[in-house]
Amino acid sequence: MSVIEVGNVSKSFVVENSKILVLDNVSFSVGNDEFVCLVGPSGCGKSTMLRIIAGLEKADSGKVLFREQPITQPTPKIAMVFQLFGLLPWKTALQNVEVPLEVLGMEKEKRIHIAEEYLRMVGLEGFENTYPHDLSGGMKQRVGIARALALKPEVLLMDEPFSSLDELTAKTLRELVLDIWRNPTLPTNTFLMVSHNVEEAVFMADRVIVMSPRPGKVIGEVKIDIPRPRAEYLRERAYFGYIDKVVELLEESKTETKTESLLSLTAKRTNKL
Amino acid sequence: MRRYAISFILGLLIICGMTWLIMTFVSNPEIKNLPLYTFSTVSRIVVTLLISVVWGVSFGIFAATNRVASLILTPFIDLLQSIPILGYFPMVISFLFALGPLGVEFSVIVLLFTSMAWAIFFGVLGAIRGIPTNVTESARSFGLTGWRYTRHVLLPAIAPAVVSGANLAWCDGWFFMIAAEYIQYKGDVIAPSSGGLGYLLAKVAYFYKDMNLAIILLVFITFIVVYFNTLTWHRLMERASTGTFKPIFRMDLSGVGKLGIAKATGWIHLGKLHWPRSLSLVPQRLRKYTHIEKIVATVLALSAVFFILYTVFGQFPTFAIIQEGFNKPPANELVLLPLLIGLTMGRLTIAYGISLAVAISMGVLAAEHKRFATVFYPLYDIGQGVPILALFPVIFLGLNGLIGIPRIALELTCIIMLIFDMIWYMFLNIVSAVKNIPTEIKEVSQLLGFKGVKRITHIVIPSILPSIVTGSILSWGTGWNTIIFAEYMPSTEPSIPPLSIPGLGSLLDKAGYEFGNTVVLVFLLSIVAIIVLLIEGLVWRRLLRKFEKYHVEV
Ligand SMILES: Nc1ncnc2c1ncn2[C@@H]1O[C@H](COP(=O)(O)OP(=O)(O)O)[C@@H](O)[C@H]1O
Ligand SMILES: [Mg+2]
Repeated sequence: MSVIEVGNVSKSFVVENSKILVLDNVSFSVGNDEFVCLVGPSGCGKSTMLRIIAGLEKADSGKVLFREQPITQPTPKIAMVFQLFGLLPWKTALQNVEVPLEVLGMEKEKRIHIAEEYLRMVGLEGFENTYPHDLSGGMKQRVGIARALALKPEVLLMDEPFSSLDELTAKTLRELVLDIWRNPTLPTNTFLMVSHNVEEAVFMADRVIVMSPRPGKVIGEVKIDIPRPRAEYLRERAYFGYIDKVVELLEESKTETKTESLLSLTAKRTNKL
Repeated sequence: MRRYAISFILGLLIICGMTWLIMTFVSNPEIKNLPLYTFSTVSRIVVTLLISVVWGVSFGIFAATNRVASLILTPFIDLLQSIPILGYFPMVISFLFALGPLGVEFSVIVLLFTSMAWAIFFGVLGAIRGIPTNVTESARSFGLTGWRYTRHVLLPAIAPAVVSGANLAWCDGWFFMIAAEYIQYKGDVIAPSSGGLGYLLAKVAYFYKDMNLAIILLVFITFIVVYFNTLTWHRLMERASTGTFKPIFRMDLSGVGKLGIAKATGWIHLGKLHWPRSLSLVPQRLRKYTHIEKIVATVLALSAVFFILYTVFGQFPTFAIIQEGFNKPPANELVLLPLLIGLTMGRLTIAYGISLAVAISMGVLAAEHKRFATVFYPLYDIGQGVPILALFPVIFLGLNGLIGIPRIALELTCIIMLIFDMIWYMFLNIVSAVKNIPTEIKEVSQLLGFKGVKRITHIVIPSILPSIVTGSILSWGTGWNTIIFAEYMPSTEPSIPPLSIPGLGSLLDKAGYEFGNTVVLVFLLSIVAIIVLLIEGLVWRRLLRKFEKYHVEV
C-alpha cells in the first residue's frame, strides 16, 4: 500500500497576468518505508510538488492522497525539512524544536524532554540554548531535522536539504538522515526528498523519479538496487550505471523540450508569415 | 513613456482645475496669488532637490571611493547633521535676510537643503559600501576601471539609493515647506517675496482663521504630493530596483516599502527652523561604522567640546556674553527646567504609547487579514503624503472652535500632532516588516500549525520586533522635533503675544524667536541633544543589538 499517492496533478501559477504551467499531469507514489528522490532541473516544479504534498499549496487538478485520504491542509503526520532551514531566528535551538509541540497541546515538561532527546539524536547536545544566528549551516539543518522528527510524523519531506551546505557537512548529514530512516524505533519511515544532485539521489534513494524541465512531467523512474549501507559501493560500476541512467533521462528530456520549443518557435514564425 | 507623459499632463491639468476652482469660489485677499505660490513652492523644492542630488551623489561617491576622504568626510558630515543648526541659524538667517528678498529666498533653500541632502549622501555611501566584493572583483578582472567602472557598476548600484533618497527629500521638502516659508523672528513674519503654499496656509490659518480654506489648501497640497509620489517616484523606484543588483539592494527598497515611501527618514524638525538628522540612518550607522571612523568622530566631537569649553572659560569677553545671556529672559524660566522636561517627556510618552499600540495592532491585523490589508495599505499610502506639520494650524483652529479655551486646545493639538507624526514612522517600519516576513517563515508557521494568538505571539510579533525598535527610534526623533514646533503657536500680529504651553520646546522657541537669546537657545538645545543621545544609547542601542539576531538570513 502506498503512503503517498499523487495522481495526474497539474498546477499553474499566474504571474503578471500570464499563466505558467508548472506541473503537468504528474503521477507517482511513495510506498511504506520507502525512500524516494525526486530529481529534475531547477525550476521544474519539484518544490511546488513537495509543497502540494505538505498541504501548503493546492493542486489545480488531480489527486494527492495520504493513506487514501486527500491532503487539504498541513498535518503533523507529514513533516518538512527546508533548504534554508526555516528556523525561527527568535527562538533557541531547543525552543525551535519545542514550540511546534506546544501547538499540539503537549505540556511543557514533556515538550522540553522530547526536544532535548531529539536534539541529542541529531548530535546537538550542548547547543540547546543557542540561537540560529550563532549556529553553522549544518547545525541549523540538524535543528530543522530534529524539529520535523519531534512531531513523530509518518512521512518526512525534504526540499534540497543539503544543497546549501558544503560537501563534507552534506555527506555527514546524508548519513544521519539515512540512519534515521533505517532506525526502527522511530515512527518516521517514509521519506520523500527533492534534489538536483543525481549522485546524492542515487546514493540515498530506493527509487529516483526523474522530472522534465518546466512544465514538470514525470519522464522516468530508476529503481536503485544497491545494498545498504551503500558507502562501500560508491566505487562500483553499478553505482555509476544508475547515475548514468538518471543523467541520460535528464539529458533526453532536455533535448526534447529544446526541439519542442524550437518547433513551437518555427510554428509561431510561420503563423506570423 | 507615453502613458507617463499623459498622466503627468493629466496631473498638471487637475492641479490647474483645482486652482481655478479654489480661486473662483473662495473669497480671500491672498488667494489671487495661489498659482504663483504653488509655482514658487514647487520650483523651490525641485531646485533644492536637484542641488541635493548633485551634492549627495558627488560627495557620496567621493567619500565611498576615497579612503582619506571617507575618513574625514563621513564623520564630519555625520557630526554636521547632528549639530543643532538652530543654535547658529538665527545668525545665519539674519545675515541672509540682510541681503534683501533674494536673501530670504536663499535662506529658505538653505533650510530645505539641510533637510534633504544628508539622506542622499548616506544612501549613496551605504549603497557603494554594500556592493559585494565579488562584483567589484569581477569588474576589476574584466578591466573595468575609471569612468567605465562608474558607469557600469557604481551608478547602477547607487540608483535605488538615489531614487529613494530623492523621494524622501521630496517628501521632506513638503513636510518642511510650512516651517520654512513662514518664519517669525522677533515679532516680524518673514516670508519669501514670491510667497509659497506654506506661507499661504499659515497666513490663512493664523491670520484669517479660515478653517474651511485651510482644509481646502491642505487637500490641495496633499494631492500634489501624493499624485507625483505615485506617478514619478513609484515608477522610478520600480525601474531602479529592477536593475542589475536587484537581490543585493532589495533591502534598501524593502525598508521603504513598495507602496508607501513618503516619510521614510527622520529629520529633527526644530521649530520654524530645523535641525536635520537622518535618524533613519541611526541603526545603520550604529552598526556600520568602522573603528577608525568611530575614533575620528570621537576626536571631532571631543575637539568641539574642548573648543566650546575653551571659548567659554578661556576667552573672557565670550564668557561675559554668556553671562549676559543667562541674565536676560527667558533665562528666568530656567529654574523650572526639570518640570518643563518632565511635561515635554510626558507628552511624548503618551503620544508614543498610543502610536505604538495602534501601529502594532494595525500591522498585526494587516498580517493576519488579507482583506484588511487591501483596504489599509492604500489608505496608509495616502496618509503618508499629508505634510504633517501643515496639519498643525488646521487642527488647532478646529479644536479651538470646539473647546474655546486656546491653551487646552493647544495641549490637545500638540499631542494629536505628535501621534500623527510618530505613528507614521511606526507604521512605515511595521508595515514593511509585516510585508517582508519571509515566505519560508510563513510556510513553516503554517506547516507547524500556528494559528490565532499562537501565530501572533510566536511568529508575527517576534518577526517585527527589530522594526518596532527602528520605528521607535525614528518616531522619538521626529517627536522631539515636532514637539518643539507644536508647543508654541506663532501670533498673527506683533501686538498679541504668541500662545504656548509650558514645556522644553516652547521655552526653546521663546528663546529663539521672541527674545533672540542665542545663549539660552544653545543651552536648551544641548539639553535636548543630551536627552536624545542618552535615550538612544541607553535604550535603543541595546534593544537594537538584542534583536539583531532576529533577522532571518535568506
Ligand atoms: N508562488 C508562486 N507564484 C508564482 N510562481 C511560482 C510560485 N512558486 C513557484 N513558482 C514558479 O514555478 C516554477 C517551479 O518552481 P519550483 O517548484 O520552486 O521549482 P524547483 O523547486 O524544481 O526548482 C518556477 O518557475 C517558479 O518561478
Ligand atoms: Mg526548489
